[in-house]
Amino acid sequence: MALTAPPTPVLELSLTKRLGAFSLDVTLTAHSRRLVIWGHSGAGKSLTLRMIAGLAQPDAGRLAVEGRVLHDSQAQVSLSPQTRGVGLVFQDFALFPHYTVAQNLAFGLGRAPEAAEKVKAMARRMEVERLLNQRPAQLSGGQRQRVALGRALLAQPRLLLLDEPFSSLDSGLRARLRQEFADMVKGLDLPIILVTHDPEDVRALAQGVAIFRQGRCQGASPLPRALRLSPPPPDDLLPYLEQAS
Amino acid sequence: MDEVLFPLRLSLQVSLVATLLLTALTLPLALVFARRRFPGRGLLEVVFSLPLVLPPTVLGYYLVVVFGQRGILGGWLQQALGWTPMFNWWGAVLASMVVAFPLLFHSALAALSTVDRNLEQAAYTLGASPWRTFWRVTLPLAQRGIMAGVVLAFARALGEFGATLMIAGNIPGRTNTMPLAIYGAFMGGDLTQAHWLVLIQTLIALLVLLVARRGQGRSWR
Repeated sequence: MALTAPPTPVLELSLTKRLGAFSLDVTLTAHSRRLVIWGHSGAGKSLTLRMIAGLAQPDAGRLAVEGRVLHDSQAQVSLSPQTRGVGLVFQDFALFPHYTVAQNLAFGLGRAPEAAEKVKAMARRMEVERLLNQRPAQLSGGQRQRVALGRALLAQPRLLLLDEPFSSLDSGLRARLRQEFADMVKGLDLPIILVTHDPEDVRALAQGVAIFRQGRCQGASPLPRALRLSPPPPDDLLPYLEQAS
Repeated sequence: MDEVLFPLRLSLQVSLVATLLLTALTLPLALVFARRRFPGRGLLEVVFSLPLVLPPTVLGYYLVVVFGQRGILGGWLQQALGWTPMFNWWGAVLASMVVAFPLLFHSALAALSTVDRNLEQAAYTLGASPWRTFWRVTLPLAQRGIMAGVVLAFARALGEFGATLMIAGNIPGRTNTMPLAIYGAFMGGDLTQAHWLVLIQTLIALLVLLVARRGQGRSWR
């Protein structure tokens, strides 16, 4: 009888960090390829995301993505943000204001061959091909978001992080953009982790959900199927998340 | 004619070299101050502002204490390399660098501090080294403020008098930059030469300020 090894988790992390009065101590093992980290503001979600990307150093702990160790305090291993293969779409998108859309998209390509073709193809995929010569200040919120996503993807990450991707969009557009964005992200062939305080993001995107509260998280669980159906019964998700936290 | 052309050429040479060296030294320093918190940082910022308020003669005195033939560094430089900045145009370069330093440092620090850290971190996650990030993201975004500081430093170097007199002296044909030559001509009663030098110095200052203005209007915003 063949024994099948348990599948490697997409994300395994156990990290602690102290910042003044705030202390973060999270343990999380996730098998979902679309994980949403949900919690109120100040729960330590963004800090955790930044530690996964290598932009903040934990005081202690271990972090592995699909079995690849990115940080291990005991073994004194900590990969730089440049070598982690982790893409991050910032909350405010962090597009370079002095570069055009094309230059922003190309930034992570370096001197890769056929960079121009890759930029064009990505622009087509993100539906920003007519904006290639514009600067970020001339774009709408949704366009900026797609440029930021395209820019992160062109650097060929093994994991994509999204920090509150809809919070800086105005509320009228948010629902439509969320749906479009969800469809786009679901077509990606890489694991994603999205951080949000909005239960609607959980509904639109999550396969699994990890709930953060005051710097703690006890792990991730698959989101119950009933809560993923759309259109959902109103307001059932928040009580579920609140209760779970 | 040489009494006018030599000081002009020397002043431009001294100011240009001083500005280039100063920029290379000050930018990394300003970047550290813009990005890191460390003990003594506030005190150092105050010390760095001293050349703004101290008389240039005091700065010149310190320069002699450090770089003079019996100075802390000067003795060693003389022995090891046979080089001294005393009474030659390198002394004038050092004097210009010291007096111009606070102008460039504070402009660069202010400009670098306004660059959004998220943009640098985004560059890191896209695989860019800190070096590449500095050249492609930080510097272009801070360039307007830095260039303003560079132009200010150059203008200040052109006008440097007191510290230069202390360390480089006022040797005709060797260390008499424009301000020193003006003083020499005036004291020696050669008013025609003084007129010309004053006129040229004023025109250059005007030109530098006009260039600075134009440079600001041309940047990306």
